[in-house]
Amino acid sequence: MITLKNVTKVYDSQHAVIDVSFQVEAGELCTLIGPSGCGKSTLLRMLNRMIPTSEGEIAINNQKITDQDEVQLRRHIGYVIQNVGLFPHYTVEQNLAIVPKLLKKERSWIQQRSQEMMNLVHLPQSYLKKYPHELSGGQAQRVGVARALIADPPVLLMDEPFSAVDPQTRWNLQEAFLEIQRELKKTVIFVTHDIEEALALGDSIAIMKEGKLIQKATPQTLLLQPETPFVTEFIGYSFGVNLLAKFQVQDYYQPIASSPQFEYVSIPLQANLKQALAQMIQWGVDTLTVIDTRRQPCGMITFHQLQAVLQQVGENG
Amino acid sequence: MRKKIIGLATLISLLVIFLWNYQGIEQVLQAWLPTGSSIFVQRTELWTLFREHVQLVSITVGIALSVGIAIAISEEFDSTRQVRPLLQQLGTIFQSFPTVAIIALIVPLLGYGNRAVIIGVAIYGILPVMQNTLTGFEQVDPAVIDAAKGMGMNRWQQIWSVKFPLALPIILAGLRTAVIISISAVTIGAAAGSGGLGLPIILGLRSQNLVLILQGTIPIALMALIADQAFRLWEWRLHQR
Repeated sequence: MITLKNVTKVYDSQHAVIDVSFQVEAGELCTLIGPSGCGKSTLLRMLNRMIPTSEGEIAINNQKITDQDEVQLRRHIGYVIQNVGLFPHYTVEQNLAIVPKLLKKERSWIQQRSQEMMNLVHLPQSYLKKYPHELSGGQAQRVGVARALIADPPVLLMDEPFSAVDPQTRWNLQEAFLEIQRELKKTVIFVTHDIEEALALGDSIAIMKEGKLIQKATPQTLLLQPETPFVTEFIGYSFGVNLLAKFQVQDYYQPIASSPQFEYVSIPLQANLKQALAQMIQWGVDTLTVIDTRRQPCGMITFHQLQAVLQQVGENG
Repeated sequence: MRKKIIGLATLISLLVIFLWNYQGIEQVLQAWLPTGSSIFVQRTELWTLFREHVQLVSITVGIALSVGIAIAISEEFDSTRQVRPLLQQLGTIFQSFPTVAIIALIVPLLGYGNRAVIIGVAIYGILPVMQNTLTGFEQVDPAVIDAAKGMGMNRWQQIWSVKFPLALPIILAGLRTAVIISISAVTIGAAAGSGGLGLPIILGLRSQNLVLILQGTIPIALMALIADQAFRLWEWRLHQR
């Protein structure tokens, strides 16, 4: 759990971060977003004391970060940055071993963990012996994530980690990271400048502007209960449709018993609701037949259900 | 790679042959070249002069290396970063001083002898080492430093495990300059009373004995070439990784 209370950063009388308070629960992935220069990276770097706080208090798991030695603090927080920052003179294996060695872990422990990490980020074991310059941008960032996770820190700070790669690679990295996050349930603060990435990854989204926190809430709340017009403007008109992509057909469809008649247009059970919407618009229908893996109809989903999903603020937000 | 090693080996064997067989070489040279007026001088053996020269160079380079790197590292602990441009400028200005001038300035302070020469030449060698170390540290990718710090490396660990190894090729280039400067400057040092291969050169100049001059200049030139080649080979090996 990360708690920020009235956090402020002043540089030579310029306010970079102004009176920011919010909380990220254990296991929550919070994306931090805002226009460039809004102070989001500054705020992130204050969490592991890379930048000292001017005013206010930050606590991780109810421990004030200023009560701990800053070097020790950082060893227990995973840190992933945009340019990866792999040590070019170290192999992947040596890069992975940096934090465990600082924590005085045993060699055999490090070796075993390194192998587990390679599996986790879907890289072959043979890559342990490679040097960073032999890796593609996406592979390097996978190693970056593995390096941050190897010592199993409860908290992960990520500063635009996937923004330096091409869109396809970024999408793959996001998918892979979500899968890892579902398994490990870290408390994550993830800075991004891409609202689609913020939405795709975040359990909650914190929007900043000119050093201030405008709103921190679930995507549904941002959509239906924006605190200022800026929020609506910032998230954009397609936010709601993109939000549908986070929900799966299998969680919302009506099973076959209650829907005797079938439409001709179908959607697989594993699809998401955004894809279902696209199908409806494309074919001009408001009901789709849901088919299972054997391509047998097993239920249906309607346009009204999709609408209802976006209205469920009371329950989820 | 192969060519470079062969070149280096050739230079080294030439030097060894010259040092071991000097008697023979001298006889050949004397037959061809003017030996000038034959004033009697106490002749130290060439091998001893060579050893003295190498010792002087090692000591001065040792001092230059440790002081140069120490200054650059202490600059890493200066959070204001205001001393750095000053050091860089100082280095550039100082290097335009001729070596002779520095030794000439130090002799009145410390008197004739090895001490003055060692200190004068070491001061001169500090600058390229310091400048290159500073430049090398600066050229390390900021993302790598950021990651190192963010993972919980303290300042010494950042310098020792990250900055230093990554700056090493550039530091080596500075060290190479320092060694070559030192080899030639120690020669001039003979005029200020130190030993080394400068001695036969000065004696040869005084007595217009070309053979005596060559006795000093040939091994010095070979040493400088060997040092240059050896360092370049080392730098090149580092770049390969």
